[in-house]
Amino acid sequence: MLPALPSWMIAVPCCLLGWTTVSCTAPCTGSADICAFEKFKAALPATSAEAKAVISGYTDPVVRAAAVGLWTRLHREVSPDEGSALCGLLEAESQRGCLRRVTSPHLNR
Amino acid sequence: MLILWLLACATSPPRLATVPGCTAYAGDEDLLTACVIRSVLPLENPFLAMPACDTLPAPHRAECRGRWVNAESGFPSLTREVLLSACDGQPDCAFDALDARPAGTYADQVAACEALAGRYVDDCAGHAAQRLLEAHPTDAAIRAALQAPHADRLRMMLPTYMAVAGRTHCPDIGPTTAACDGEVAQEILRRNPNATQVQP
Repeated sequence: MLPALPSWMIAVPCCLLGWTTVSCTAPCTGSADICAFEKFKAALPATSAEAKAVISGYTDPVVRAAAVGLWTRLHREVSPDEGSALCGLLEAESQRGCLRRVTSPHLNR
Repeated sequence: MLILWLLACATSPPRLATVPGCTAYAGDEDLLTACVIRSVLPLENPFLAMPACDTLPAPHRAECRGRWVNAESGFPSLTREVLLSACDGQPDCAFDALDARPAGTYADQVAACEALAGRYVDDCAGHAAQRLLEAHPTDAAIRAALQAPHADRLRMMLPTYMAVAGRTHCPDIGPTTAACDGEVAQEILRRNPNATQVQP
């Protein structure tokens, strides 16, 4: 049986060979929420309810704001009610701008 | 080979220069933007807030400035000029600032919308029309406003306004007066289905 190799020892030669079955990016070194946000970006939730469930799990207000901002920017079709529910996950000072974005018809055309 | 390894795979994504307190988020533009915006929202002084926004890459910089204007427009001490200057020419931000600090007259506001709100000029003029109607304008003021550019939204809102104001006719606005009267009648019936006919 071969000894287990560190992931970088597998990833580096694979990256050099152009194989894409392994992650060629540097491992996440940030906080748990920052690393979770990387995954969030890589596989965005399909519905606002799913997004809300995932984002509510973040405790870092910056990560929450980035996730809500990204998701609502990419899902302009979201209804004002669904958008408002996502904005409700943010700190009070951030909610006003978030609500404007999700409820203003001119920004969602 | 070792050098190639180091160059090709072992390098981290570039970290962006940023404001104090946001370095932990500098590896990702979305996180960094959210952090910088969070740091500028409480700053009432644009000379402190704008340089922080300007550390972000271009599209995020615009978002940051727009969010600051949106948040700070609640403070009456910040003038329209200060808010517009912070917008740095972005149409949506200018629309927001013009909404928060409307000009004294409908005509001036529409002119400002035309000059600054870019592709949102009709939305901006629409908000101006709404404000005009909420101020119970005279028939002469309505007629004058309808002569101004970008009056489509005002024309659309007018029958509803007349019906809500308890009037059965539009002011004399030229060839479209009769059509406007018809829409007022429809609006009255829509609001009061028991009314079988609106008296001319």
